Amino acid sequence: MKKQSVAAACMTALLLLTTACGKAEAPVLPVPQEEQMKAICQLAVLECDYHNLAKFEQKDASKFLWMTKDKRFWVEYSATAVLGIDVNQVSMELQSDVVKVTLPKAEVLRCKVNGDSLSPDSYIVDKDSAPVTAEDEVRAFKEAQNKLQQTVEADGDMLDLAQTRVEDLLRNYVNSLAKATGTEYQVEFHYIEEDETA
Amino acid sequence: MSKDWLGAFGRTLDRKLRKWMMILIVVLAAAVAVLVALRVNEHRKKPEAQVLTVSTLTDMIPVSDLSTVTSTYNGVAEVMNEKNPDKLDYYVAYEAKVQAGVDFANLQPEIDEASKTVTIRVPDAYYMDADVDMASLDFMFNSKKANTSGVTERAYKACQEDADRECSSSEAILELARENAVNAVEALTRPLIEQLYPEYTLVVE
Repeated sequence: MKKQSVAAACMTALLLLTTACGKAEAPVLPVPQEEQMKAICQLAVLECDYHNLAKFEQKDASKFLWMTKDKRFWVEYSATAVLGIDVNQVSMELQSDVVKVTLPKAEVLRCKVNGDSLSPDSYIVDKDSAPVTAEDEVRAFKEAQNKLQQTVEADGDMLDLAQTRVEDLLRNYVNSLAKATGTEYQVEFHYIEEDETA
Repeated sequence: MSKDWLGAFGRTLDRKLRKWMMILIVVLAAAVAVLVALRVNEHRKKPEAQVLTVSTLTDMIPVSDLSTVTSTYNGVAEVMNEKNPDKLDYYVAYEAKVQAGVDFANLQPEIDEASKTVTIRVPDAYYMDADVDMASLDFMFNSKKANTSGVTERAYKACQEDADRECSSSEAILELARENAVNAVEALTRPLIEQLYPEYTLVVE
């Protein structure tokens, strides 16, 4: 009899909780999202103007009897380089209050010589140089275009800046979201090594 | 006999009723306690509904290095003869790091509640500084006499002047600096607005 009474009491409590007052909905807090992080990385690209100088030297370019002359001239041109990270390799994992972001190192995404930046004033020829021909100028421009990618890739400062920019923007996103939702996150960046991407 | 039986039945019923009443009171008290605990927990976890204000938007965009962009400028300065300013002494090639940016303190966020649109206007970029790398200097002499011991000092000054003049008026540098600032502002605000204020549309211009 006593057991029956306790069972009845439990049933009543259960009914009260589940039917009379309804079930309380679990609160949904906005959390850092991988898609948003990818969108941020897409916007975090660093576009920079590269005003460059290609230097050309050719030993003994012309000969007259025993006299030789070198060819020496500079070409000033400008280019646009876009530095950033490959968004497709970005991933995020949320473990409790730790946001682990895995991303590749910043790289040169694209660069292009601005053709209209070349004018007759762009070529500076040494007074003692052997004559510079139109062919030399075309060759110089082509070489500059080919070397541009290498020049930008060798610019460690700019790549570091691009990397820092990505990190700053991602960290700011997580921190602002935490502030708005009254939570706290710790952000960790893990870089994909080059051999892992191969 | 029947009276005694009735009395005994009445006492038993009374005891049973009291017992049921007690159980019901305990159950109700427990149910109320559980409900109150759930409500308190829900209140503590649920983010307070925030109103989107200009101040909220400004807080999303910290004044930081994100507002500036560094470019590499490889230029050539012409150095004329001191005694005869029409005569070229030499050309000097140099490399400089140029900084241009946008003052994030001058951003103009606006909220149109009617159309639920947030507009952030990014001001024009401005030239900040050029830092010429002394070690990058390379000479092309027009007059061999100009190649003296003090040539580097004069050349460096000419390079700094050339970099300041060329970069401050370079549309390419300023346009790219502004474009980078627009991208940074969008990256700082769009994900937060999409997640926290999904009813608003963001325009960064």
